[in-house]
Amino acid sequence: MSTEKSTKPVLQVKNLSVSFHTEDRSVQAVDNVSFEVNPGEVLGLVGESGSGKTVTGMSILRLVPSPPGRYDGGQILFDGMDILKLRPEELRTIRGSRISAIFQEPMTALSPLKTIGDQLKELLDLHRPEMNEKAKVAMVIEWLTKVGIPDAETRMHAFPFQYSGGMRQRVTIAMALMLEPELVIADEPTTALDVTLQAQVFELMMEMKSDKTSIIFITHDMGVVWELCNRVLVMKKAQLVEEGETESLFSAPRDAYTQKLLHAVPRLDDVPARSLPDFEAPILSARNLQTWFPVKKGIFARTVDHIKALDGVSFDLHPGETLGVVGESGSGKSTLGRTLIGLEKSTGGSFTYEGQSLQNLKHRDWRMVRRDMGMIFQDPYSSLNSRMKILTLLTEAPIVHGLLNKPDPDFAATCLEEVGLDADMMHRYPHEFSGGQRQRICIARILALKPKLIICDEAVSALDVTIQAQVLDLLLELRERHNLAYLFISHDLSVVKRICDNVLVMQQGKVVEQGSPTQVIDSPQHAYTQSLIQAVPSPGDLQRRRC
Amino acid sequence: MKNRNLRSYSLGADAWRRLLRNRAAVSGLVLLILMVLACVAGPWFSAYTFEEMDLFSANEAPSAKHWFGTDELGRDLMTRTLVGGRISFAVALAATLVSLLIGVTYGGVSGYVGGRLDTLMMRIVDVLYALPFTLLVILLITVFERNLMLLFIAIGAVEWLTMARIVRGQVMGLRHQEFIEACQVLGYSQARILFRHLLPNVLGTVIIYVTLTIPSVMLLEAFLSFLGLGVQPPMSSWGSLIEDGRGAMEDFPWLMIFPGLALFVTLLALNFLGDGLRDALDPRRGGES
Repeated sequence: MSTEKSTKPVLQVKNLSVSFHTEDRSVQAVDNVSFEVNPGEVLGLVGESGSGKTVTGMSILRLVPSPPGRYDGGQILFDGMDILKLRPEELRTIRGSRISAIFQEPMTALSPLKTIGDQLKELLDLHRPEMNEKAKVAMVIEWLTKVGIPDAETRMHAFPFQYSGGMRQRVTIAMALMLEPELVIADEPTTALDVTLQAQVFELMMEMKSDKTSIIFITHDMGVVWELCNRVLVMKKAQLVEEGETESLFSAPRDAYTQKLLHAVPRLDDVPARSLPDFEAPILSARNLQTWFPVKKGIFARTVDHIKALDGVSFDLHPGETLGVVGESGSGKSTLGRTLIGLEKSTGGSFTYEGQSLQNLKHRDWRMVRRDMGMIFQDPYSSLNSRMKILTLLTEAPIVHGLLNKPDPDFAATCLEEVGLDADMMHRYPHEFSGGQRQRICIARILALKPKLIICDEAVSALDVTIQAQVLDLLLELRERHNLAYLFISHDLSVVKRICDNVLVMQQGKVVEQGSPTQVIDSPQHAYTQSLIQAVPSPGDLQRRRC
Repeated sequence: MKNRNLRSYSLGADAWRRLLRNRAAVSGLVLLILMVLACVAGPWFSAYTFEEMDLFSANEAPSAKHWFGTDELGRDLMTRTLVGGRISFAVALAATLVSLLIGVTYGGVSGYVGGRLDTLMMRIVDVLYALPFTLLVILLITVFERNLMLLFIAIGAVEWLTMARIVRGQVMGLRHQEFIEACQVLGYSQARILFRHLLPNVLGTVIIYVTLTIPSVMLLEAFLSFLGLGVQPPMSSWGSLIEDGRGAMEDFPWLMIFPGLALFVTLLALNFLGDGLRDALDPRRGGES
């Protein structure tokens, strides 16, 4: 917490404005933003997607693609130089060495064709030409060990695809910190990771960073800000709306938007939306359900082993009930949802829908079941066919199932209104909508079939907190109105606690704990559940501050 | 802002309107229509026929009498170029149709269904690829009579193969995307998913590939004609005219320049049109509709 106010700031951003220009429109991405970064501090930059926080971060390294981007004005002062005015060769000596970056997607941030060791060494080749080869290799090994890559001497010769997502993000952290830069720009570095991995990465970043390294931490997660940042900047619609020390900003936010942002954060100590109602006979039941994926080897593709993605799962889901499924990635929670709706083939056990066995169902029979069962996917950007208008998308399923005989605009209007969208929107294409609106369209499309059960596979994980809260409210409202049952798959325990009536905790294809959300989350029995809960950032908890 | 009371248009109608706003694509389309019209109707108004020899005016340079000049037998090159365009356009059309109808469907089914069917279908493609094309053509000529239809059969037999492979690859990449899985979960039939949802999304690649194939098909026709399968003298086509002109390039360059120019203009127009089509068919490009 002790940032030396006396020393001069590492970076000064003065009246920065950035805009994007395409043939038919211009967008102001950053509008007259000014701030400073002090030596050794962690500065949080928060805001919803589209607020300009990433563009601000990218501008500091002058990485905004131009065209279409354009720097309209302002200065970015670093060590007496204006980064916006540097010549390319001067810029290169700063990038990577004195200012570095960690990006969101660990899977694509490393070059797939070079070994991990070579990629780290390349940085030294470029920025530390005076070092000899031996010293470089030694330093690479030292840093890989530091970030927790076991057996670094051998593993440095491995390729990125041989590393897991968490390990890759560790490598990118090593790359960003190895040259001890004065400033690191971390753009949502853990958004793609599990909570448990996220906690490990935070710990690592705080441990690795030297006292003189400052970090700008770009995120939409207020819990993360609470854990890591000394100071916070809040951005909304390209402008800076609030700035302050983390603790005072959390306890007394001044700007209405900051208040809204803080309020929307789901918390583990939230109370469930309702108490457990009495349920009728189950609508969907699974008994000892298994989905194994064969591991094939050799030219005859003999099955040598199985990946037990789902290994003996049993549960009952009643009409109107919301069953949460939580776990890390790889725990089999997505496979469960996909198996229940027939996107994966189950290999053992049994599952029934309204008493009808779904095991080994033919394609034609699945189509009948799917009239009653819907599924919402994680990524609202790829779950709508971009070449169809909303009208066609909404009316196609009812036409296929014989509920409608033509693309009826009135029908589409009702669908849109039910999920809180404007009926006029039916003549547009999916790309004209925001993520939250698209997720609403996905929900409307499923509701058009009057389903009894919806499987939500990380349905709100890709959305901003404020949008997330709105979509969750919509789901709750629809649950009451249509007595819908949800299978709610999520890695976010706070969300699960808020909307679920029962929770399954999954690890390695098995259910390790089961019960009501208050039971499971407030007094977890299993060690795995406890570790999951501990990893969840919780704003306001002073013990969770890492800075 | 968008006009909110807009009538609902299908993707086709939308695409057409977007195409019409693209200046390059419209000029490509107009140019192409003019070329086709000239080739179809031009020879009727010509003072010469494509086979009429006039040995006294052989190898004449372009003049008011013969706009494109004459060849070594004194035939009017402009008439021959226009008549040759008919064959070239017909060949291009046939190849496009075959690769669109057979290639796209075949590749789509193979990529979407996957598994054993995919393996079987792709091995068939491999076998057809491996057949020596020249041998196939010579076989066709010996077994059947010389016939223009044979030309189309020979070109058709090979032109869909690459398209099938490209479409298969694209479809395999798309079939696990969430919007396809969403369609499955909504209970759509496999055929509907393939033809209404998957294939429209590979159109961009398909169009690019078609515009790339057309010039090579036009030249392939020249090669086949040389082997004796395509058009026979005195008939002409752009490919054969260019081939003949190449031999006399040093002394009578116009023999190659004019048919070459016709081919060049057509391909340019096709490329503009192809690019415009690709953009028009993708609602994400070119701003609001």
